[in-house]
Amino acid sequence: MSGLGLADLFDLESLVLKEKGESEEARRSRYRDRGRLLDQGIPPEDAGALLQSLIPRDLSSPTPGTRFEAALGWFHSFLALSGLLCGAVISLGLLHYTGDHPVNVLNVLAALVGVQLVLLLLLVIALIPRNRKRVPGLVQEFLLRGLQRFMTRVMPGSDPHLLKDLVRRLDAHMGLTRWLLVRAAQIFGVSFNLAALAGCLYRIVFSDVAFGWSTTLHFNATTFHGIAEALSSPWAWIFPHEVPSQQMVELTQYSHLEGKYLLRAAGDRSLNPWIVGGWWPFLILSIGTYGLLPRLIVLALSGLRIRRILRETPGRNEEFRRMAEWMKLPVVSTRADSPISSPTAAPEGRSGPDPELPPPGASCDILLDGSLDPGRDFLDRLVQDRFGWTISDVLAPKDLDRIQGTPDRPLLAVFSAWEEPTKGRQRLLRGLPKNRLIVIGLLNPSANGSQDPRLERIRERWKRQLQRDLGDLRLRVESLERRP
Amino acid sequence: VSAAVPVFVVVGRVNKGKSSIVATLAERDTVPISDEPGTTREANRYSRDVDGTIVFTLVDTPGFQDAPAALEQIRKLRTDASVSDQAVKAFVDAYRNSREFVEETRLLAPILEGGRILYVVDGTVPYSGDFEAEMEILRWTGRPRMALVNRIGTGDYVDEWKKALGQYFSLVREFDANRAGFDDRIRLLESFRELDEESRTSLDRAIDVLRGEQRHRRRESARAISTLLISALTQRVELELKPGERAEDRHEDALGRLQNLLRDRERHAHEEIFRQYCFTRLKSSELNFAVFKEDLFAEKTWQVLGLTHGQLLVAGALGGAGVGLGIDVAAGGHTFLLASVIGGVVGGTAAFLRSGKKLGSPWKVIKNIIGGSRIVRFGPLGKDKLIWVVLDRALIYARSISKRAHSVQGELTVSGNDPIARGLPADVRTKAGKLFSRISRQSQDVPDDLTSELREWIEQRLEEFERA
Repeated sequence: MSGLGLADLFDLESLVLKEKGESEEARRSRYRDRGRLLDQGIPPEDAGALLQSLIPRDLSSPTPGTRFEAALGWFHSFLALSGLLCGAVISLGLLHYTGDHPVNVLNVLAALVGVQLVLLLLLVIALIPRNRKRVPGLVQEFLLRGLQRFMTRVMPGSDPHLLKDLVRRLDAHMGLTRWLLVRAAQIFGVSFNLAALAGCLYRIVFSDVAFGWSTTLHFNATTFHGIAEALSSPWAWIFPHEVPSQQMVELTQYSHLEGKYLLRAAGDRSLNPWIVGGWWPFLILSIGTYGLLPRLIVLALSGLRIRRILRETPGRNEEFRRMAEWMKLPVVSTRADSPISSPTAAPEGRSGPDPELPPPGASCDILLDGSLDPGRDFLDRLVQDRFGWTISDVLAPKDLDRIQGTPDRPLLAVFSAWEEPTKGRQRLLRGLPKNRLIVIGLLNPSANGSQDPRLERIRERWKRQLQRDLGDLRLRVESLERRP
Repeated sequence: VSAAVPVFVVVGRVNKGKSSIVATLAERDTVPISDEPGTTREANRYSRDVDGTIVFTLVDTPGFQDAPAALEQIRKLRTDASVSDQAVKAFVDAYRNSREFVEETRLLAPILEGGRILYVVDGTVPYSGDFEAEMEILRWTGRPRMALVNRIGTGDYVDEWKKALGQYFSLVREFDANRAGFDDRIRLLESFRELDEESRTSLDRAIDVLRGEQRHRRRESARAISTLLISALTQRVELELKPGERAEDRHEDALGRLQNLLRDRERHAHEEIFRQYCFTRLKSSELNFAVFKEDLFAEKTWQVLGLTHGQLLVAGALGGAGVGLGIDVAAGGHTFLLASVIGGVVGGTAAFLRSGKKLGSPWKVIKNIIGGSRIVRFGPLGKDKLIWVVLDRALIYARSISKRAHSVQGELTVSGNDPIARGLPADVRTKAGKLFSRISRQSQDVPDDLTSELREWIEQRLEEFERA
């Protein structure tokens, strides 16, 4: 999977912030359009390459990301120059030798090795993985503010709140801000150590520097030799002769009060130049080992880490993942091809009391819907049980012309209780004599004792619809369920 | 629309669930569905688009109102047994502008234009012979056709129906429009491919894209939930204390603000889930905080222009020390870092006095340092029990939504009696607990890896729900 560049990441974050508040549908559709226009050479699983394609590549108008990266380059150059300057000034200053007193080895070690070891320790502590603080720490706060100020210049006219968000979000990418800071610091450190080494070598090559060591503390030569030996252990196996010897340590202990090396007679300042100048390999190797080497290692590590962050971010960052996914995934939608009319409430029919049912003992005719075939015996029992009537005749829809207009005899039109009052059924009812009482009997052909609540609703619809559409008929709707 | 883009005309008797089937297959909860028969008066077309290209179209039609009479008319118009479809066409032409057979002509027209027939019946009511007229008319059209046995109620007459439908339809499938999950919908689309070869390519593409979309929806829902949880675990409010006011005095105020924020975020997350699954009419219920006794963590902090007082002091001191170090360097180290020390003290003191001026007199600053902070940061809210409740509610919504058919009307009710998180295996729950704990220790911008880890955890749960 292709990784992002720092400028890409910056540009993508700017893009996310710019699109904040925009509808997701619009964004998705736009990203998909871009995805479809992409070169077929980009594999869909390569989120990094997909994301990179979102960034405009116009060399004539640099993006905020390229400006940010360029400014970071300048910042690194500034740090490198500062490091070179500081390293050179300090090393030349420390090894400045007028011939009055020898250069104190302890002084050089403290300034060029001790301070760096302390800084290295602090760096290691800072890099130990831990949860981020709820409140940003001092360094982080300053860094964020500096970045924010810088970005205000890089992206003029942008909403300051968005810029603040952008700065904050950068560190969410696996601590990117922190690693950028580490890398910048190492650039300074490497330059500093290189210049320090160069400065020291310059003094050593072009002047005769005499070294000594002196301290107010109760520090005898054996102890100091032990320390020097311990410090030399990293290179002792390669350069065994560059480990300070016990004799050299003893001979170069210096007294400022006496103005001489302690083991020399008063006024006798001469000492074997191999001895007084013998400290220089140790100092150079110390600076190289404890100053330059760790800085180079951390610089390489921070560079690798930043590259890893940039490589993994497209897959890890939720917002970027979505953007890449939107580019790959086709947009599915449903559209109504014509305006869809909302259901309209049926107009109310006439309201009034249902016509009275004839008393038990009356006779009736049955009009049986074609879909039903309950059998005559069943109908006889059902009508007797339900209304107390007797059946005079059973007719089918095709027998409509046989139906007489006998006003005193009700006509029981039996339909399936599951069927709706369709136009077909209404047409059938319309063909019935208007002077007869028509009772719509809704029969559940599969009645198994359980009452389905839908049947009640269907019956209500029969009543409503027939009142509305066949208001001129004497109609009544009844269930033909057996009463319990 | 090209011939290769299949058009499925959903037909059947009134109130048998035609619109429900269309709503479910089109994933559109705005398809008019009503208990009242005859709701659909026109043939409404719904096209499924993939990147703007139609992959199939569903036509919701009015139901048959008088099929036996229509069949009788068609029979009269048939001159030869081999041209049944011409008779149907003649019938539609004859009655297109008539007040008779309005529904029949409207439902037959799209079939005659090349639509595939999906004949819908209700398998929960008994079969009766008068359906044969409808089936006969459809057979006469000569178009590819499939019967769908829907389930509107509780009865079971499916076998009876299948037997009858088998005589008229080469394909008969059961499809409960109101309970059909994603897999059921895909299975139905797959069976559409059997209707004819012509539509296969288009339907294959539709199925493939829909599968990808379903994964995307799941992932996006998981993202919405993880964003909500992160907010609950990290959201804080800062309140400035008035003179003499204690942090405890602002506790209720802070609690109210945090609860409102969480309510908003929760509603937003739930709506996001609804939107992902194309539900436009649903609303989530509000989180009831009454059951939780909140004990907010209050963090006292000094703030001036975004920096704490301590930070200001250290910043000033470091700045001064930096200048001093420059002097030390310039002196070749002979000043033994004295300039740095002096610079640090001067810088720190200046920062201290400067911050004092911004807040009032230096005395006030000293008093406030001794007496307490001016700014108190409260929160977060989502800890212990509450975060699990928020998670549960979100998972329940996501689970219900992923299984909900678009034909289902009414509100989405979330029962509190189904705590999902409690039912998870111990190791899965423990992992979530650890993630919550790690996130709650972060600032609001939670690192990418934690965010994606939480999203993946939620996505796995949603996938399990869909599979279950």
